[in-house]
Amino acid sequence: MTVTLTPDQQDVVTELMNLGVGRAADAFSRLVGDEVLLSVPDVLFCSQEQAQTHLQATDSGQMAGVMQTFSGFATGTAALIFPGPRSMELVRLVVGDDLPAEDISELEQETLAELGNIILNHCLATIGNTLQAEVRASLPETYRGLWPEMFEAFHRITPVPPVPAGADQEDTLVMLVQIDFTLRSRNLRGYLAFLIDMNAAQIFLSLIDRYLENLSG
Amino acid sequence: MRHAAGQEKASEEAMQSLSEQTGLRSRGEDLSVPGAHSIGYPVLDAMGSGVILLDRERRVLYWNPWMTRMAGIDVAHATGRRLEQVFGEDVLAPGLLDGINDALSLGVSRLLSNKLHHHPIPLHRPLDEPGVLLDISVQIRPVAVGDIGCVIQISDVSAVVRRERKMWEREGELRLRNGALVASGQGILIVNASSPDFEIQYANPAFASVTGLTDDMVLGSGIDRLLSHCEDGPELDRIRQALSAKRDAACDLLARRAGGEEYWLELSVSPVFDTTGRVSHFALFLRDVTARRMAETMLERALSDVQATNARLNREQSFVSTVLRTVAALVVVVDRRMRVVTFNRACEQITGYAEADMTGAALADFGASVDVETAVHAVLTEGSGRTLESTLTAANGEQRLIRWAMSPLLQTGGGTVSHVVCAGTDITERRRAEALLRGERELMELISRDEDLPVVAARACRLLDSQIPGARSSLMVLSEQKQLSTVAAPGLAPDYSSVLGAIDIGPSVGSCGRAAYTGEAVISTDLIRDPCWADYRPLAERFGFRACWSQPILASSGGVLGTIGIYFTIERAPTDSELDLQRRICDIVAISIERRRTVDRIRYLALYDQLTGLANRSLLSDRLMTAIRQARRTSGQLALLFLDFDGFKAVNDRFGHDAGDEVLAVSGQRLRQTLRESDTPARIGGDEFVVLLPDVQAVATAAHVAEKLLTVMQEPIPWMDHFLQVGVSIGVALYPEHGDTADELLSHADDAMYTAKMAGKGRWTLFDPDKAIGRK
Repeated sequence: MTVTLTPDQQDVVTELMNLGVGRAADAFSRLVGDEVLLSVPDVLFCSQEQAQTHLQATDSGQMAGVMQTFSGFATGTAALIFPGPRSMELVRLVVGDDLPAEDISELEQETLAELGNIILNHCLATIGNTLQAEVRASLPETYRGLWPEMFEAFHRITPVPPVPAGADQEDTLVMLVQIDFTLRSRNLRGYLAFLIDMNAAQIFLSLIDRYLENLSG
Repeated sequence: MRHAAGQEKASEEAMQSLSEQTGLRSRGEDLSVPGAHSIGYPVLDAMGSGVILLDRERRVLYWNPWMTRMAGIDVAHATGRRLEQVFGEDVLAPGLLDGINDALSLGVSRLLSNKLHHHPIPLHRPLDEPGVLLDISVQIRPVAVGDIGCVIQISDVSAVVRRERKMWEREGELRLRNGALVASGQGILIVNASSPDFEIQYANPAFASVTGLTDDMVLGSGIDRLLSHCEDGPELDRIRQALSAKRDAACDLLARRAGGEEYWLELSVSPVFDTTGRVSHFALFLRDVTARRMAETMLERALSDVQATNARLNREQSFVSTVLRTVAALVVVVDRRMRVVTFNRACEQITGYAEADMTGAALADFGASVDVETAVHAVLTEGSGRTLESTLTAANGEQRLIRWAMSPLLQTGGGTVSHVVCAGTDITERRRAEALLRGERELMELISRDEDLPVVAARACRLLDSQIPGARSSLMVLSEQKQLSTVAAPGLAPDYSSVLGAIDIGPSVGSCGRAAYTGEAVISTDLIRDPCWADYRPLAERFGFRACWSQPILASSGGVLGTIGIYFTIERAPTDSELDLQRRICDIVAISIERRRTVDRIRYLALYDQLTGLANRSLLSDRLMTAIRQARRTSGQLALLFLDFDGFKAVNDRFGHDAGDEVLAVSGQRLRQTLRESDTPARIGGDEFVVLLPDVQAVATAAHVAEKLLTVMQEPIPWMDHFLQVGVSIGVALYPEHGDTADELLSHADDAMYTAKMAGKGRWTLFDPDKAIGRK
């Protein structure tokens, strides 16, 4: 089963993403005490395989990610993923540390988790509010590894029963959002990925449709 | 994040049990929740992290004992109040309140990390120092069960913060070390000690610049990759042995770079131990020491040059000092301040001052005269050498004549004079020798001019006095009577010779008496102790004599002619040269005395009759003419007596000429004994005698003499076993009465004697002009 969003549905989601990321930027700025600009240049809906291919082509090597599960308007996992060294750069820019540790420390992982938490919360909350749907989000967790390992973690924590045998992988919809950070005159790039089980996504799609109807109505 | 994760897990379990107790809000079940103060959550009470339950109005429903402890606020005070009311408006992090709002209104969970929110809730561990806030991270979860709106979980992360801080410190240190390793100017290799070929695991950047071997060439290779570029030899063997024995070693190796360029490699090997004490690696330190080796070589060369130069200088210096020490010349070096720098041994000997005392002293301090100082000053200022003769007064007061040659020493690199070298020659002896030579020549001239002995003797004494310092000489002549009398003593007191008088010689009569007696030199260095001087001590004391050297003046035949005595006012022994000098002067004076005696003898022979010792005709004429001149000047009278023996021929004929000669000799003696000193008896022919009586007042005087002679002359003369007897006839002529010339008077006296013979012999006759005419 190939799940696709109509262009209108896609537009709505893109707009919501922009809105959420914008609010996250505000929260960010307040937290850091410095202007943080976040922009969403691109939103891509695709299968997991496509996403994986696309991301691997863009950034290879170690990745660091913050993931939190959500439920409500849809069930899935939201993730903020950075190319390995970049994640540290963001943390250190925010914290102001100039520590050269190769590995991310526990406290830094926690900080990264909070940063992801803020962005993901705002995106999820914006979608929930806008679609007038309930949303619940768990606490964030951090993961590290190559893209395939990231996706594996993605799957593992997603709070849905495992796909039944023979079920198509294509049933999983990936909403891939590239976001650009501008912080303390540095530019960083990261990805927001929303892994949504399309078998349980009917509510989400109908909520979007209702929203579109209200807009046109 | 093991600890935090553990807490997370625990809190998740707590949440789950909470959910099990209360069910999910989404299910829409409305469960009554007991009042906040009465709520009991035994599981939450037991937790080691903080748990706060808020209602939907953000009021505290519950916090667990951990919170009570860390906040220091009892749960009873917190319950029913919002957190900002419990803790105060400004102390809570804004993110905390936002998070609570988001959880309550949106249903999203919120994480407040420690690094971003250092102390979102001011908590304090009871035993910590006041003001030390607890490092925490906060999780806010929406929980819709009963009155509960959200649950806040607070994890103590201070241990993690501490651990990470420590880790960063360690890491910083490590990076610093690593940086040093990379930035080090010396090449560093890390070699695996357990691999058989000692695999190279690390090479710092400097390694490539030292050896010319890049990382790709060496990493993963054995150590031989490096060592094969080094020259074989014992040093390289030491390195290999150190590696195999896992010891450390260091040495310099001649190595070659890729381009063939040779360089000196300082290589040291240090084993690196792992935690079990086993050598796991080697650290090799490499340095290009070519420049240092070259510098060392040059330094060694320079050092040996310096040593050679030093040795040469030492040799030269010792040579110079030996020369200075042994050279007969006086060497004095003075600096610009006119202070003595060098004072050699000759100086010490001549002046009697020690170099140690003279170093730094002024010129005058060793007895140099003012003109020396003036000359040195001139050399210092003008920079040109000069010569000078000057007297030097030695420590004992002795004066030496020194000829100084002064030359300037220029400062190295500059034109100014730094020192003046004064080389002096003691010309005292030479001058003395010259004076001696001159004096001797003068003496010889005096002698050859036939000067009188006192003149010659005085000159001889003065010569000795000038040659021998402190000498006062006297010259004595020995008479036929073996008495010594002073002829000259120009250096002694004028009354010396009269006080001394004539002395008989003898074995213990002072120095001169003994010298004349023994014919040998007598040296009395101290008269006070000399027994020969026992009788003359008052004399010595009177004139202040303390020493006397006496030498006899010896005739060429060996007899003693006299002595020369040299007196000193101090105890003094003669040097060989002084004795030689005295001897030589004695010899010269001997020539004079002998010559004088020879002349006297010749004169005597010309004027006196040998047999009788009376004047001969020639002397008589001389005396007679002198007497006539004298009488003529004074209008005086003189008498001339002409004697002729009666019976002399008979004696001759009977007893021979010897008897005749005896008669003549005895008669001559009788004449001398009878007459006054001023009268002159003379023998003018075989048995003819004339007596000149100068200054006769009257005829009676002459008559008296004639009468006396008649008596004396007829006395018998013992000869062999006989008595010889002759008579005498005397003719007397008077001046001016009987003639005013010598010939005339003599002739008239002869005439008168003839008259006496005619008248019967044995009588005297006054000249009678009438009878004389008759006889003629």
